[in-house]
Amino acid sequence: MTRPGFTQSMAWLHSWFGLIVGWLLFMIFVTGTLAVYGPEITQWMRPETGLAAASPEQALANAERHLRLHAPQAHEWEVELPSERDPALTVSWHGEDDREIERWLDPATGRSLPFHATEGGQFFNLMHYELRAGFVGGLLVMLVGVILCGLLVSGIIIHKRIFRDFFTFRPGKGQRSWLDAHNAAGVLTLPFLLMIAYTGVIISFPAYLPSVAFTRFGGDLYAPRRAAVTDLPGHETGKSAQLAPLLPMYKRAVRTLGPISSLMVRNPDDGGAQVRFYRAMTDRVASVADHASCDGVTGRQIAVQQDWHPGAYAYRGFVGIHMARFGGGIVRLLYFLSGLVGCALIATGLILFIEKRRLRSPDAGARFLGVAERLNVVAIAGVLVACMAYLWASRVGPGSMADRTPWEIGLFFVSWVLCLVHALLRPPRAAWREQFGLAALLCLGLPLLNGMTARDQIVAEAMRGDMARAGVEGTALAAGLILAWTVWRISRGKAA
Amino acid sequence: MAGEATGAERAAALGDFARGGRTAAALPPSGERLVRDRNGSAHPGHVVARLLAGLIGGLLAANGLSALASLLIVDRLTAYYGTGILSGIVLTLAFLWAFRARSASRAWGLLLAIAGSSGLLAWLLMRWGMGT
Repeated sequence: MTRPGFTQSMAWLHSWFGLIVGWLLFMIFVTGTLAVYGPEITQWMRPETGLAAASPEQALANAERHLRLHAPQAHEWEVELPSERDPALTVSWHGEDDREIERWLDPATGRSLPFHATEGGQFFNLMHYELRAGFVGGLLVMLVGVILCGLLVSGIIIHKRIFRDFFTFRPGKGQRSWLDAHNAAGVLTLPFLLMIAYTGVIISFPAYLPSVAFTRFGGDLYAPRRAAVTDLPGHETGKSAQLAPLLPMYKRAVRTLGPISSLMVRNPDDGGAQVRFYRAMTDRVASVADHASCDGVTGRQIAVQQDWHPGAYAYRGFVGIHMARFGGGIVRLLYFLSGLVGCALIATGLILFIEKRRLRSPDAGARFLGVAERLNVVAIAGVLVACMAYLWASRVGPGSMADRTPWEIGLFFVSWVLCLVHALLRPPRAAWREQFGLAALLCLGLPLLNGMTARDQIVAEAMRGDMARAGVEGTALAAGLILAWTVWRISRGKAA
Repeated sequence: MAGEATGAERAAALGDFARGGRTAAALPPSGERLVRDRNGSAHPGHVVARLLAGLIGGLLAANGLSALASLLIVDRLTAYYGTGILSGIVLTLAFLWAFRARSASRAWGLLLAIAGSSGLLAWLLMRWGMGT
C-alpha cells in the first residue's frame, strides 16, 4: 500500500474540511465583516434620533444628573460617553435584582431618547465570536479558527504556482473559473486571512490553555488578569456618604490619560465609593484601556495604570489587530473589503467542491453532492437572507414593542431555517436563484423601507453628513446590485 | 455496458480523495464512499478520529507544552502570555499532523505522547520547586 504524498494529504484535508467547516465559516466571516461596522449598524437600527454634538463635559454632567436622580441606590454606574461612531450618551446601572438597566440620553440636553432596545450591530459580533451560544459557541468558533489556520497552510502547500495563479482568471469556463476565483481571492487576502485566523484563535487562549495558570498561578484562572490589570481595591463600607462631583475628577483624568471613553462608579452612595475613568482605545493598535481611579468621596486620584506588562500588551496587541478599533475609517474599510473577499474565497471554495466532483463523475455520490449543494445554498445565500431579515426586523413588525431584541434575533434564525427548508424542497439551481433573488430584493428594498418607516432618505442622510446611516443603506444597495447580477447570471446558466 | 464508467474511470473521477494506495480495480464498481481515509480505509469514523486527534490532541499537546515552557521562563506573566500567543502554532501544527500521520492512532499517539511527557516533566519540575 503506497503512502500518499504530503501534498496529496494536504489537498485532501483542504477539500474536505474546506467543505465541512466552510458552511459555518462563511457565516462567521459574514457576521465578522458586518461587525466591523457594528456601531454604524446600531445607529441605523435606532432611527428615532438625530443628535446634536455636545462636549464630553456637557455629556458627563447630564449623565451624572440622570444617575443621581434615577439610580442613587445602585451599587454600580457605568457611563459611555458619546463618540464619533456612537453619538448617544449611554448610562447603565444594576437594579435591586441585579438586572442591568440601560438608558440612552441626548448628550446635549440630557433628555431620555426613545430608543427601542436592540442589539444592533453587536448581534453580528456575538454571532461571529460565540454563535450566541456562550462558552460552548466560543470554543466551537475557536476550533473552527484552528481548522481555518490548517486550511490556509494546506492551501499554500497545494498551490505551487501561487503567484501565477493570482493573475489567472478564465471566466465562463465552469469549474476552472471557480478555481481561478478561489485562488485569486485566496492570494489577495492571504496575509489578512492568516492574521485574522491566528489572532482569532489566540484571543480565547485564557479559556483553552489553563495549564499555565496551574503551573505559575496556583490554579487560579483569574490571577493572570489580576496581575496584569490594576483593579479597584475598594469595597463597600456600609456608611452613607456623598459622591463628589464627577467633572473635576474627569478633568484630572483627561490630563493624566488623554481622551476618556467611559467611566464606572462603584458604590456611589457609600463611603467606599470609587470612580474609574477609561482612556479611549481608538488611537492605538493594542486593545488596552489605560485607566485612572479616584476616591469617590474626596475626588482624589488614587491609582493610575498606563504602563502594561510587555506580555499582556503583546497579547492585547493581537486582540486589537483582530478587532480593528484603531486606524479610523481607512482601516475599517480595509478590514471590511478584506472580509468580503474572504467571504468570496469561502463561497467559491464551497461551490468548487461540488462543481469539481460533479464534472469528474456525474453519478458517483450524486446523493451526497445534492445534499452538499443544498447546504451550500443555505450556508451562503441563506445567511445573506437572514442578515438582511435581521435589518428589516428593526423597521417592520409590531411598532409598540419597547424591546425589539427577541423579535429581531428571532427573525434572523427563523428566516435562516426557512431558507434551509426551501433549499431542501427546491432543485439546487432554483434554490440558488430564488434565495439570492430574495437577498437582492431585501438589500435593494432597505433604503425604500427606511424611507417609508423612518421617513428618512439615503440622499438626505448623506447631505446632512449622517454617513453611518447613509453608509449602511448605500452598502445594502451595492450588495443588492451584485446579488441581482448574480441571479441574472444563474438564470442564464452562467453562474461561473 | 456502453456509457457506464469502468472502475478505472471512477477511480480517476474520484480524484484526490480516492488516492492512497488503492488500485482502481480495488475500488467498488458502483459508487464510492466520499468520506475516505487517505490510506484506503474508507470508514468515516477514521476521519472523525483524525479530526478529534487534531483538535483535542492538539489542545492537550498545547497545554502540556505550555505548562513545561512556562516553567522555563522566569517572569510568570511573560510565561502566561508568551505561551498563550504561541499556542496557536502548536494547535495548527497538531491539526495538520493529524491528517498527515499514517493513521488516526498514530496521530493520537504522537499528540498524547507530547502532552503526557511534557505534562509529566512540568509536574516533576514543579515538585522540584520550579515555577513558585
